[in-house]
Amino acid sequence: MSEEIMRVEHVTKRYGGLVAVNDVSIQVNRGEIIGLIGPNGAGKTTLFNILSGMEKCNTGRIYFLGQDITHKQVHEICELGIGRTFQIVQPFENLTVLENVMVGSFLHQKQVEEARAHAQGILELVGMQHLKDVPGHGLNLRYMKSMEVARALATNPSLLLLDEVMAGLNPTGIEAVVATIKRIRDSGVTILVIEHVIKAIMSLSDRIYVLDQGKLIAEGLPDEVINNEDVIKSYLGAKKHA
Amino acid sequence: MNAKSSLKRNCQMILFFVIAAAFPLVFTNSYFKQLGTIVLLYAFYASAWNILGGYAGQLSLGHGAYIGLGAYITTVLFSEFYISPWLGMVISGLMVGLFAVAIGYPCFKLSGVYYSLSTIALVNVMRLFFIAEDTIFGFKTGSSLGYKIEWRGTLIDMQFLDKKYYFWLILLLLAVVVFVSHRIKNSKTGYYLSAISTNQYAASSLGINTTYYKLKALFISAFFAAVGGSFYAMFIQYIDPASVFNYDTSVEMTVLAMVGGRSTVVGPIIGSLLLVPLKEIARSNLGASFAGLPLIIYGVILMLVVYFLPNGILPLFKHWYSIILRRRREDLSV
Repeated sequence: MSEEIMRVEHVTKRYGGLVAVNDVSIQVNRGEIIGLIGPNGAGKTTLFNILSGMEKCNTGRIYFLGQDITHKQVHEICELGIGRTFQIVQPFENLTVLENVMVGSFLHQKQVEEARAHAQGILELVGMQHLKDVPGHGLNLRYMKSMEVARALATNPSLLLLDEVMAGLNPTGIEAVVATIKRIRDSGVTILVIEHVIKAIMSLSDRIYVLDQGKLIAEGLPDEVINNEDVIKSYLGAKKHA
Repeated sequence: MNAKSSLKRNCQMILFFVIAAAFPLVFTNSYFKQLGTIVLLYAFYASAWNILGGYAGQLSLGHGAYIGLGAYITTVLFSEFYISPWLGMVISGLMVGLFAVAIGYPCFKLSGVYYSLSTIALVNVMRLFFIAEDTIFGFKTGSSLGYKIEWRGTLIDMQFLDKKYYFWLILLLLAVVVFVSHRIKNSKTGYYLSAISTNQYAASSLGINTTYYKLKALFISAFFAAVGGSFYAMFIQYIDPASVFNYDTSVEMTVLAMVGGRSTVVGPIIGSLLLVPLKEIARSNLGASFAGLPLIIYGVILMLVVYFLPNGILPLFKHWYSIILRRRREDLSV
């Protein structure tokens, strides 16, 4: 059933002496939700930056839909169909929520009215249509993160990279985001998600990769990963044994 | 923005241009015609600057380079090739646009203040180059002595004895730049430039080729700056490096756009209508008794606006206008 959408082969990124991402290989199939977890500083966001072209890896290759995108520029990668959000939200403060999303829609819609209609549809999908005229800087964190998801989604990606969209949210907020992510997957988008909220990622992901100090230490189904000894030691903590 | 409010805004713009067109018929004194033309020329410069500096958020402090080059190219085309300035200003606009893109491509690798510094360098280098060289590409430019444009005196030559024709011409050019600005602002390019001006990083992640769109804004902006410079040359009938490759003018167009309302269509015009007459009147009335006073007044106003109205005067006007509307509605409902 599984058609490969992205393959990352032996990617390494060094900052001087620090190896932020160390020989990481992952594979993402169409229609999956893949979780990427690990302690702070494990290299998750750096890996996202490499996948979306914002940083270049020192060695390794990245293939997306069979095409080598290792050396492509950020906007080219987005045009090919990879959307992303940011861990630290990056709204366009001078634009309203709807206009923020329209900026994403313009990738495939040339006319303003088409982009506006398209963006409204996306806002409905993430449950934010009632906030469309609020300025981009006037949202709380939950909606700010949802707006980023909507904006990335508006570029019609085949693969969506979500960087900690649940961080700082209360349980109700997390539930809403989990439901949204599932809805997005059901609309045909493959999702790679970085998250710290373990409970949410367990219920959400089809497969999980675990990074620690730049290295991939485990991968597999959620249940396998959570019972993996290395993962417990480095990330979940020893409490689990007690 | 709905259709009704945009129709209303169009009507307001047309009204402005009609009233402005009557100005030289009412104020027939040549001083006023000259003053009015200068005000509109600055409004034109500031509107041209705004496409790059406002919409795209790239703080250029060197637009004098494009004004000067435009003025020289049109002058050379007119004097050496007998090409009418009507055509010459378009040719020079295109040439300067390409020049700006060629210079801008490496300069846009710099961001923020470093880009601004590169633009300051550009206008100063251009001025020094034109001062130092008597002949450029085989054309006599006259170094620091400048270039007196030959008087031919017909409509084709864009030379008029009565200054009111220059007033109408610059008013027409202003209408063109306002129209183009308005079209850009309400298009895909306009939204992309807004996005780039606030967050280039996020913009590129949404598939925007930021370099391409910045260069596009620069091309249009430099095109109009060169057209303005061409107009200036034909209006004054004399150009020299110090007056056309002018750093002060470069800064002033920035200030006018920012005071009026950066990244709005009419902000640069409002800034110019308020500040340029003030400066010119202060200079002609107080210039002799207190040589530096006009600039001091200008500086104080600028500081007040930047401190209290960082988004310019236009949002304040809009705010007042909405209060008046609300009051009127309340009065009606009582």
